[in-house]
Amino acid sequence: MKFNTFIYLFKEGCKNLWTSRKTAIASFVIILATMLILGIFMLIANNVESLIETVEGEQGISVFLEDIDQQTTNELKAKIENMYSVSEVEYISKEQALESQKERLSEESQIIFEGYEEGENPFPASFIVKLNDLEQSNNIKKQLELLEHVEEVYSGDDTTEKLIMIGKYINYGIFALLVVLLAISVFIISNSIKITMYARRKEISIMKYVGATDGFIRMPFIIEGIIIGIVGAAIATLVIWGLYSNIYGGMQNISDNIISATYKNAMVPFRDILDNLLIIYVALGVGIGVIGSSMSIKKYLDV
Amino acid sequence: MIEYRNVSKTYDQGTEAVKNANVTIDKGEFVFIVGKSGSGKSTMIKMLMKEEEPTEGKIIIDGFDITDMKKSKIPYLRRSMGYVFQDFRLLPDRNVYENIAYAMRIIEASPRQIRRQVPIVLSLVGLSHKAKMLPDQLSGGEQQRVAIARAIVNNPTILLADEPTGDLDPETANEIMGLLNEINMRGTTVIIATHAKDIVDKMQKRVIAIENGVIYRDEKGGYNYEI
Repeated sequence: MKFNTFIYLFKEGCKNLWTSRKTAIASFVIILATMLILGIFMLIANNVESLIETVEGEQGISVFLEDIDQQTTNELKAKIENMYSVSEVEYISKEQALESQKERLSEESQIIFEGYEEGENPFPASFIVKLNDLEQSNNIKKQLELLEHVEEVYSGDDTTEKLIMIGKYINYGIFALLVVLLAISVFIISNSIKITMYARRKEISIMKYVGATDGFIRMPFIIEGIIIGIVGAAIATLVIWGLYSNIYGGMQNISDNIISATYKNAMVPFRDILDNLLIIYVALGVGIGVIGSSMSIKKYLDV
Repeated sequence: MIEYRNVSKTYDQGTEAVKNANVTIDKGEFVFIVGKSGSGKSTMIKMLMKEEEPTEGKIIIDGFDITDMKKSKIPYLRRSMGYVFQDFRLLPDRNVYENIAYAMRIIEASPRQIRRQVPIVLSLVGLSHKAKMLPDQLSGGEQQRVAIARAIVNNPTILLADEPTGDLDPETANEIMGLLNEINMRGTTVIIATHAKDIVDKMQKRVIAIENGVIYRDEKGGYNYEI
């Protein structure tokens, strides 16, 4: 197709859009709604993922050891470090464990530690094992439990596991939602273009009599669909941006406590999501536009 | 050259519109296909532009058998011909200029070619001053002139017209026929399906008369429908 022809057909598409603006607005609203819902779920998914990473970073798996000598400890450490997805292994000696427990408690409670310093430290030495991929957590725990000289393996609480579960379900949910919303959008767009084409069936037949190819007749309708899709994508991006920036800003202003600090750190800034969001939106907008308009046109081209 | 070879057309409801037609039309000829409504004359035209398919026989245009032509090739066949219909078939939301330009746009003519060619055919049909008007602002005769201008803008070798004067008063009808004759003088083969006796009688061209799908006369002269 020549460039001039494309320009002409593009203008025709814009004209179509104006002529059929009522149905176009209906399609536009549906696409916008689809993208907003999808965008919100994507943001939630991104943040849950980030939260998981943050929690993962803060926690790690504690591996409590039997009383073993330094060399055995080093060997064990090397073994754990070689495990798949283990990023870091930190050794905490009996003394350090005692110290950190002391620090946790207030002055008045320090009395319970009296006497422990003289070689009767009850705290075991341990490793804190951190992982690259939190989904491996259970796997690694099992492997650690099987190791020699390991007394007990403990991964804080099961918050991380729950988060991973939630993250997984959100991802499934997003996928299912995507399929359903896509189907609805394509259906509605194709219907609204069908209405336009029905209204213009006489013109279409005239075009065919004059010798226009199907592609030539179809192109303005497809362009119309793509424009609706892209405008929908642009506005959805702006709305999501506005919404999320507000929530993000609000979160940053909440005064610090242990829980809010974790969430605050975990929250993903919008610009980190923007690229992905835009790619998905534009692909979606164009895709819905093209598929929706192509599906509906065939019937009226048979002259 | 156009050739109908043993062409028959039976519609789905069983109507036999054309029965075993054998016609040859040479390049540059001016031919009337005459007959009453439902005689099959429109079907003869429609089969040439592949709006209808013959049930039997072959249609050959310039040595090329169009009978088994692929559907995707039909637009290209239609571009080699111009059409004029009784109901004009202009695009209602485009002005005169754009209606004519549309035929050039589909063959991807350059904007320069369009700017040059459209005014030429507009002046040929005498509508240069109405280029900006919409079809429904024009009289029937003017609309048909626009349709003719659109039909010839790409210099087709064949011009087909199906009852081109059917909706026009006698005077306007004469003008339109004069215009089609002029186009024929420039070398274009013109085939017109009509039942306008006066005009046919007056023009004294080749007349193919068809009745109940059967061609019963093919000679130069008048309408002669008494036979």
